[in-house]
Amino acid sequence: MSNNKHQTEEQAAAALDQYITELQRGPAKPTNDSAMQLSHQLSVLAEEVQPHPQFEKQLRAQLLTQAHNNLEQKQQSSLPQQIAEGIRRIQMKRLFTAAAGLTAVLVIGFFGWWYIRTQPLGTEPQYGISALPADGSQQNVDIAQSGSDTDSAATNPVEGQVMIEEAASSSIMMDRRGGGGYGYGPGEGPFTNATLTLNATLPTDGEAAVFTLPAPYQPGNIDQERLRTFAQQMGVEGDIYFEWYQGMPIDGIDDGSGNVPYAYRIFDGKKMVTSHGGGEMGYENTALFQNQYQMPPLPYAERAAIAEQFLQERGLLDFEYEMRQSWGTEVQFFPLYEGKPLQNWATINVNVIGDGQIAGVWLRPLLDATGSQTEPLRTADEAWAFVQENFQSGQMMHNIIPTNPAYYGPPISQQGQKTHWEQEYAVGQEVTLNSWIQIYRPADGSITPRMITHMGLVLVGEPGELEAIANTATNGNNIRLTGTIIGEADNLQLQVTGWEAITGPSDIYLTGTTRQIDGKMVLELPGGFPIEIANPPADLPADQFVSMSSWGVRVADDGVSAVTDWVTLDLANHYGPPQEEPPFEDPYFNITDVTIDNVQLGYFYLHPFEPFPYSNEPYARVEASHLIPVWRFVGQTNKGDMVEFTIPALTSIELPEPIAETEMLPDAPLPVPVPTEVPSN
Amino acid sequence: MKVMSLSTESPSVEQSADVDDDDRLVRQARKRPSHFAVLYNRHVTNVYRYLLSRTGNQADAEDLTSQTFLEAMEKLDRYRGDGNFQAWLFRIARNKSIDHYRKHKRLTWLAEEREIEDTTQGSLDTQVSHTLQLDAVLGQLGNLAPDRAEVISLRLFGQLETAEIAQLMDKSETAVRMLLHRGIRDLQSRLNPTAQECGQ
Repeated sequence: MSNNKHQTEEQAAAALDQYITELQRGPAKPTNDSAMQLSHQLSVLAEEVQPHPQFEKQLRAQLLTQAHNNLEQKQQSSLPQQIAEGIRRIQMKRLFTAAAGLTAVLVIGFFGWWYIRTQPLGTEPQYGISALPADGSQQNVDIAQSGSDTDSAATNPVEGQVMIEEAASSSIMMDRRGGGGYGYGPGEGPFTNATLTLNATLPTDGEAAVFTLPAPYQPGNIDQERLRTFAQQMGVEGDIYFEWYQGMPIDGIDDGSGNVPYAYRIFDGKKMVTSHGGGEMGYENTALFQNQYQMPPLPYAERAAIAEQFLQERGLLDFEYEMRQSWGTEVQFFPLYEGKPLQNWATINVNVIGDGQIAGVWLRPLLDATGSQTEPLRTADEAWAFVQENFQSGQMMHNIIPTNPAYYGPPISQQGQKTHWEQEYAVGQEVTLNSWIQIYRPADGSITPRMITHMGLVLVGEPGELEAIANTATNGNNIRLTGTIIGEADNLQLQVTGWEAITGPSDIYLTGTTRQIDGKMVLELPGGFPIEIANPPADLPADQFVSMSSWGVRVADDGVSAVTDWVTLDLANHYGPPQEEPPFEDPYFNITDVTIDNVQLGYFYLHPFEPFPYSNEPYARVEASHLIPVWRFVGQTNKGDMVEFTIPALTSIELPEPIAETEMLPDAPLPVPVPTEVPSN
Repeated sequence: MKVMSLSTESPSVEQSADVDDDDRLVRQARKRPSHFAVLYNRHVTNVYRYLLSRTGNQADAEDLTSQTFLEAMEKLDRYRGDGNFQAWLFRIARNKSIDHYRKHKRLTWLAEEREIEDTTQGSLDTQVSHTLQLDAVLGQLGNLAPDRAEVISLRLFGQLETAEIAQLMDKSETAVRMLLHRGIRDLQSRLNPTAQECGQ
């Protein structure tokens, strides 16, 4: 009896849940169930809740500012192929006696943990660290709880010494591309059931240098001439702009006198170069992005040769480097320090897509490693023993880079198939379209803004009218534009003849299955709700799972059905429902063998880390970062995918003082280029 | 080229957005942090709604929304890219709300209980007529069993799927559905005891 009652409630709960699911994907069906009715009312109530527009905009601006304040740090972590991803998450506290006895904090990854592991190797650490919990969870170690030496160091810190405080194995359990932690249980990793073989001779290096660097991140250090030189190298010609939103540079930094641009751009059709205050520069050819997603990458050797030749022809390889295979279609160029590659700081990334074209180049400044000290090393034998010991648990810095092109390209079922559609425009076509507008101001302070619709059309018109559009769109208004398509196929423009701000439907994403119903192409949402696709592409196939960007959903002329004005359509290739795709052999599972065939000494960039000021974590400024030697073991799995293990090579850490304390802002703030006059509408 | 919403005027159908697009956006944001703004545009409304339902007032919801996104951006590299960025984001938001609740539990709920009395006096019939007052609902949510309130907030205000909530709360999907069902029933009885009795 009780079981039946439970079943009934369970069924009712399931029905309510299903109702809410349908409710959130389309119009609600009439119901007499009071719980469903209340859920409907709550949903209506919830949808009426909107964050205050001012708050939303302020937070967006705050995020953008924060993004660029962290740009260098983020770029460090942005490359999933880097073996270092996550390593900086572990904190290294740096104590030194200053006049105020100030504590500074550095973060390193696996070093704390490594320290623990080094003790059995017979070398006394200079600073004690208690052992990790057995479950590998993060543990903040109180220095005072460590051994007597540590106590001494903690209570009487010596200037110039660096103290490892934290050992967090969670930080070496990296993400899917970076290593373990992907669906593995405690103490497990991708190699839990694998065997490990060494097929290389272990080096015998005995010592290596440790470099100290000034903080590499200096926001505001913008060099427009350097950007222009880079643009010329990439074949990009045009004026320099900065993005403008809510009346100020969107990539800006407040220097105390105002919000100065932090990033600049040069446009040339669908090519663009950008620069950031930290010295990073990038090139993108967005015309090639679609190709990138629709074809598998070239074999590494081919794309590496193309990337190297491309950079050499442009004089960008004026440093000692080592090229490496990377995630997806990218090729990385790592700088050498004393002949050893810097493992986790690719100075150049080149994106060579499947047809051999260069879709993007990213440059980072070479690290200015001006100071050094020589330290004794753990032997490669000791490091290898460590790898063997921790191989199956996965409790060490490891990285798996899939090399099977199928992992990156479209699924077999969709290769050679058209998977992407965009609204297409022809020169001379009269159009009316809805759009949000990206606004760019000339860096030279001249008036006319460059404005781009969200589909990439550049607006052309009378300067006063363009300025009026800019002043409207900068506050987040979407614009309905009327005009004529002009220009060339790769650089279409819209000659504006009319415009108005719109407050109605905005752009949205929809996913569902295309259906051919009564002669109309319909997008059937996952809950079954049908939305007619207005003017669908003639070659859009039915019964395909697609993602669509469109401009709102409106009531059709019949007054009852829904219709949407699509903007882009994509077959959901490998992003589609897994059950509709043939099984793919995941490189991260079912690894049975790993063979190491290369062991080398390299450097690792110990990245400074500033705990997030908005969290409850302690905040401290870091003045310096370091390059330290590491052992790198490279090999492959039984599936042919690349594997690498990175093991610290130092026997202890006693890092030197920073050689210079850098200012966070340039001495002379750049002027804010603003229009000298604003024409009225 | 993907086109992202710059507006928060997002109908519920936006929930059907392919979660793997989020992963693509995360990869872009890791490379170009300013792209995080697109993820922000996409999720801010639901995160705010959820936090409003948990805190019961606009100021705290805004504060926690800010904390959530700033922390998410800061820790973006810790997201595993397993196709559920939204659940990851809501985990941060939920932790923020839990911290907030711990700090302000007593003051907040006492204040809201008083507010409920004021806002619901003589208004039950109106609520039955589909005009639920937000303040009353939020206040009564605070009086539910914590797990039930949490599930309602995540499901109806945060618009998360049941599976996502299950992952977030470390419960089975069945348990989440049961919590939701019981929570709605409980809320119903608190908002309108007469209707609840009649309806059953």
